[in-house]
Amino acid sequence: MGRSRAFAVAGLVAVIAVAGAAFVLDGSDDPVEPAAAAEPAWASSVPVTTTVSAPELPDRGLHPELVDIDGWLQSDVTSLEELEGKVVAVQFWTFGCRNCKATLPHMAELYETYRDQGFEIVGIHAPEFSYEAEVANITEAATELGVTWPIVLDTNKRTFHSWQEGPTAHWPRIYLLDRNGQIRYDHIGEGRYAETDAAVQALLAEPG
Amino acid sequence: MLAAFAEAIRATTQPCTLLLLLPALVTAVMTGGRWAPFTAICIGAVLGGWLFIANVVALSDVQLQLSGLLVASAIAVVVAAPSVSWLACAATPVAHTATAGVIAFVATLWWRPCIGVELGSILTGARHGLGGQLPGMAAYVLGALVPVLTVVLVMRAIDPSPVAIRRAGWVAGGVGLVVAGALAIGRHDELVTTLTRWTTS
Repeated sequence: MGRSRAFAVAGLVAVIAVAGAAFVLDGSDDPVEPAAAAEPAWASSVPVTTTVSAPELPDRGLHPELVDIDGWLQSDVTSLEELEGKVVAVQFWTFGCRNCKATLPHMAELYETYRDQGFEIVGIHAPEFSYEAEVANITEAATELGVTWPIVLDTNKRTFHSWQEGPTAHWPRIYLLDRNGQIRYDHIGEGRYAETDAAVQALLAEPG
Repeated sequence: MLAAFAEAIRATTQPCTLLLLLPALVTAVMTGGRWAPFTAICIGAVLGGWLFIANVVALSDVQLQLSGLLVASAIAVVVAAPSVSWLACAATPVAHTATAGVIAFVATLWWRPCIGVELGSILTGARHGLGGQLPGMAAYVLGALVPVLTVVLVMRAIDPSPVAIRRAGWVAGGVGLVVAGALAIGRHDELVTTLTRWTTS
């Protein structure tokens, strides 16, 4: 075997080992920190690295409008203004998005834990593909995925793009609105569950 | 950075990485699994990844079509160059390396990555300061290219004959032409949907 080929084979073995380690260690690089108090059930099942107190919650201004939406599902309210007085988590998601789906158990825990304390979730469903735009598919997926909170249909993704700065918008993305409708917290992607939990607690503790 | 690298490796099994991975794999095979084009792929993809987290560019439909046309043309030229005398200049190592870098860069503009824990943190952090997130994003992009490195190493370990390399290049070029051609005729969403269903069925 030539030197070049031996090097290639050794490199191949190393790459396979590294890739294998990446899959074996799946999740261990997901440092979900416990909330300072009232830790929900799911937080105890994930690796704990450090204690998280409430993150900084600067006032980022009044939330944008819902633009060109096609209606609401699972809801008696038809606008965010009707939810003023509550702490609201607005999550951009689509049911076919793997990372969005990964966040839903934690959203469900938040909903169950804080709903009675003046907390609400609004899931803005912005479909990536045409099959995700069918209302029947959304309803079926919501049932399967345990999404019991209000869903806004943003079929043309006008709200999806108008809320998110810059030319690229992302799923999943969560915004927390305080009781006055001001954006106070924002996170893109999975993770930071305990931080989000702590932020919800802090916002609920603020006077209305 | 290691966590971002590992998350990207895991994402290579997901359809969301295919629009970056397929053109990069095609290019690596077409250029014979050589190190210089592979390095150019890495550099092009990292630059594209930085542009992605800077959130300053998103291709319009027309730009997507034009970029598809550009990549389809580049692939066609690379595949045809050894057989067409007036395209001989496109068969040089320098031309291969430059083409590989451009294709990888354009492919990152097509890419819709899975936004997991690490990439989510990078994107969230980039809104408060881009500089600190550049190493993490580079690590993420390089992790997504691990299958390309694997293919390059396999090709070098097998050390195929020039004829075999050329035939592999034709096959890879065909796949690349389908992908880039679909974009060139405005079928980006259909392509992503098809890839998604194909890889999850």
